[in-house]
Amino acid sequence: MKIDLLVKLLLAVAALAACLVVSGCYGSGGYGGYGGYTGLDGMSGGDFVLWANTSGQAAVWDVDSSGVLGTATAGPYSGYTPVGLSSCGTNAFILWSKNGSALITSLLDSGGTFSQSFNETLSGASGWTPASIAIDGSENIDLLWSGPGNSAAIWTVAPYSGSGKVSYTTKSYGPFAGWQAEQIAVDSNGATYILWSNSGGSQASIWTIPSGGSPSSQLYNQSAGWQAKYLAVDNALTTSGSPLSEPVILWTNKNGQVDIQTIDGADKYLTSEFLGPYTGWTAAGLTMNYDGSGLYCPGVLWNGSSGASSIWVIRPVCLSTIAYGPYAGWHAVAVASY
Amino acid sequence: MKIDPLVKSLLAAVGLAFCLIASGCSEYATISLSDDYVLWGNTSGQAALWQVSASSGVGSQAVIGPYSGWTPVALSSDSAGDAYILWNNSNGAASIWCESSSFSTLFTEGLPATKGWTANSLAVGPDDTIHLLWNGPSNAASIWNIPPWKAASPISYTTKSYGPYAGWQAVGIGADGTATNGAYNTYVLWSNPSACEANLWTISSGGSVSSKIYGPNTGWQAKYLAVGSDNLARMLWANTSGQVDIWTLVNNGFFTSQSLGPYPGWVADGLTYCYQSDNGTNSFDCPSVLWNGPSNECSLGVATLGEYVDLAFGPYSGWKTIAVAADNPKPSSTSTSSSSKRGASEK
Repeated sequence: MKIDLLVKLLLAVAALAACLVVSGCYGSGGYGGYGGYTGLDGMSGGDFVLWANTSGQAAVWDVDSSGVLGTATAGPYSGYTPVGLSSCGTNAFILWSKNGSALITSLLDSGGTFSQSFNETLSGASGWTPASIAIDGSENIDLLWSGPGNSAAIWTVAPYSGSGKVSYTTKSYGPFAGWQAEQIAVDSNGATYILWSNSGGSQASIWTIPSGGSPSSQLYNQSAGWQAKYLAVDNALTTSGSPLSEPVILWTNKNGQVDIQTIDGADKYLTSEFLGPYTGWTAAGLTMNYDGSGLYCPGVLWNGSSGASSIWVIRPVCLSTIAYGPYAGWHAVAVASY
Repeated sequence: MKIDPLVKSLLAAVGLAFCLIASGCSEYATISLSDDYVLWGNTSGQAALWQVSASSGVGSQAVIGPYSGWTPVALSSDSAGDAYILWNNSNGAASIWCESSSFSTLFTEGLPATKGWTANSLAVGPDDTIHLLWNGPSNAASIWNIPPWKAASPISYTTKSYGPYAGWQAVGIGADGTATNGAYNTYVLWSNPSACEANLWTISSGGSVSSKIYGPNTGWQAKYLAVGSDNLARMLWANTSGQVDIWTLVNNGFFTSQSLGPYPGWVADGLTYCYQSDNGTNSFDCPSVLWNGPSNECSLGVATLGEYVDLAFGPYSGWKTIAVAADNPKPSSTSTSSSSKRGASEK
C-alpha cells in the first residue's frame, strides 16, 4: 500500500518472472496445491506458514526440514483477519477476511527475503466473508466465500500481477441445510474442489468443478466423532505418468486424533493415515509436500496448547517434523507448500 | 481387474507424451513396481509359479508336479529371491521346495507328519531362516524355525507350541529384518473371527512374546500378515461386504489404513508387498493383494501411495491362485526383506 508505482511494477515483474522460471506458477497450499514440477533441479520446495497475532498482524515464514529460511510480516489491516494462504511459485498469497470484503496480499520470497508484490481489495456483499484461497496452474486465484445460511461462492480472479484492473467471475451455491463450505483446492488439470462439512458431523462432501464445467459431488462418511476440516489435492504421478488429482481430506476427531484420507474414487481405494491423538495439539492445516521425484506427502500443521506450532510431513519417503515457538500472542493459521 | 493391460499401456504412453509436451517434466519417470511371486494350484495337484508385476505384467513362469497326495499351500522367498513353496500331504506331512528365480529346483525337504497338525504357512527371514507355522488340535499353534539351509542333510529345526486359546486361530507368520544379536523377530497373526479381533505376536529370537490386540472391528476379520523390508507389519482385514483394509503398523501412534473395494465377486486371497520406485530415487514397500474372481480369474493389486495399480489374468481352467510373496531381492540398495502369507481360511 505504501509502495510507489515503479517499485510495485518491478516487484510485479519479478514476481511473474519468479513464477514462470521457478515453478510454472502452479497453485499450492493447504488448499490443495499443485507444487508439482517445482524446481528444474527436481528438488522439492519448502512450506509457507501463515501466522496471526492478537493485534491483527500476519507473518509468513518460509520453512523446510532444515529450519526457518526467512520471515516477513504483513498488516495489520483495519478490520481484516488473515485466514488463508496459497502459493504461486515462491510467491505467498495471504487471504484477509472481513464481512463483505477480501484483501489479498502477496509476498515474494527470494531465498528467504520477502518483498511485497501487491495487495488488492475485493468487495463482496454484506454477510459474505472470504474463507479460503487457492491458485491454479493458470495463475487464476480462486476465492471461497461463505455466505448467509452457509451458502458459498467462488470468485475466480484472472491472473493478476498487481497492476491494471482486477477481473473476476463469480458463482454462488446453496445454501444447503446443515452443510458448510470449509475449503477450496485446485488440481493440476484446472479443476476446483470444495470441501463441505456437515455440521451434524461425520460427513463430508467433495465437489469437483472441472475447468468451465459444472460441479459433481461425492459424499464421504466417517464414524461418529469425526469432522472434515481441511482439503488438499494429491498430484503424485501415477504409473501411467499422469497426476493422480485425488482429493485429500483431513478429518479431526473429538479425541484429538487426525485421519488424512486420500481418495481414489474410481478404484474404490482409500488411504487413511492416522495420527495421534497428541495431548495438547490440534491440527490447523494441511498441505501436500512434493518429495522431489514424483510423490506428494501430507504435511500437517499443528497448534499446541502452549502456543507452539509444528509441521509434520508424513509417509516414509518424506518423514520429517519441525516445531516452532511458542511466540506470545501468535498462532499458526495455515500452511502451503511451494 | 478394471483396466485392460493393453489399454493401460496406451494410457501410459499418452500420459507420458502429454507430460513431456505440456509441462517439460522430463525429469520424471513413471512409478514402477517390483515383481511378486504368485503361486497357483490346479485340480490335478500341479503348482505353477509366476513372477508378476502389477505395473509391467507377467514375467517368467514354471509348472511343478503333480506329486501324488501333495498340494501346494503357501509361499515365501529368501534374501536371494529364491521362492519357497510349502506343500502339504494328505497324510499330514509337509514339504518345502526351494525354486531359484530362474525356476530351477535348489532343494526339497520333507517334514514329518504329527497327528492332528497341519502346516499352514511359512516365512523366510532376512537371514534366510525358515519360519513354519502349524495349526494343531483345538487351534493350538506350533512354530518351527529352520536355520538357513539349502542342500545339507539332515535338516535341523527347533519347535515351540502355543495354545490353544479359545476363539483364536493363528493365520499367518512373518519375520522382520530387525536383528538382535544376529537374530530376527518372528511375527504371528492370530485372528478371533467371532470377536472380530486380531492379536499380533512379536516373538524375539530368545523366545519372549509380546502381543497387541486390535479391534474389535465389527464385521471384519483379520486374515493375512506380511512383514515388509521396512520391518513394518501389515495386516489384511476382510469385511463381510467384500471390502478389504490393509493396516500398516507404524510407531509413534501413526498407522496407515488402505481400503480397497468391495469389488463384487472378488475375494482377497493373499497379502505381500512389492517395492514402489519413483524416478529411481526412492524405493519403499507397498502392500500387494492377491484377488480371486468369480470365475477363478486372478488379480494382483498394489496399494501405492494414493494409486491402486492392478493386473488381472485368467481364468485358466482348473487353476486357482493360492498365495503371493515378494520377489526378493528388491531393486535397490536398502535392506533385505521377507514376507509370507497364507491364512487357514484358504485351506
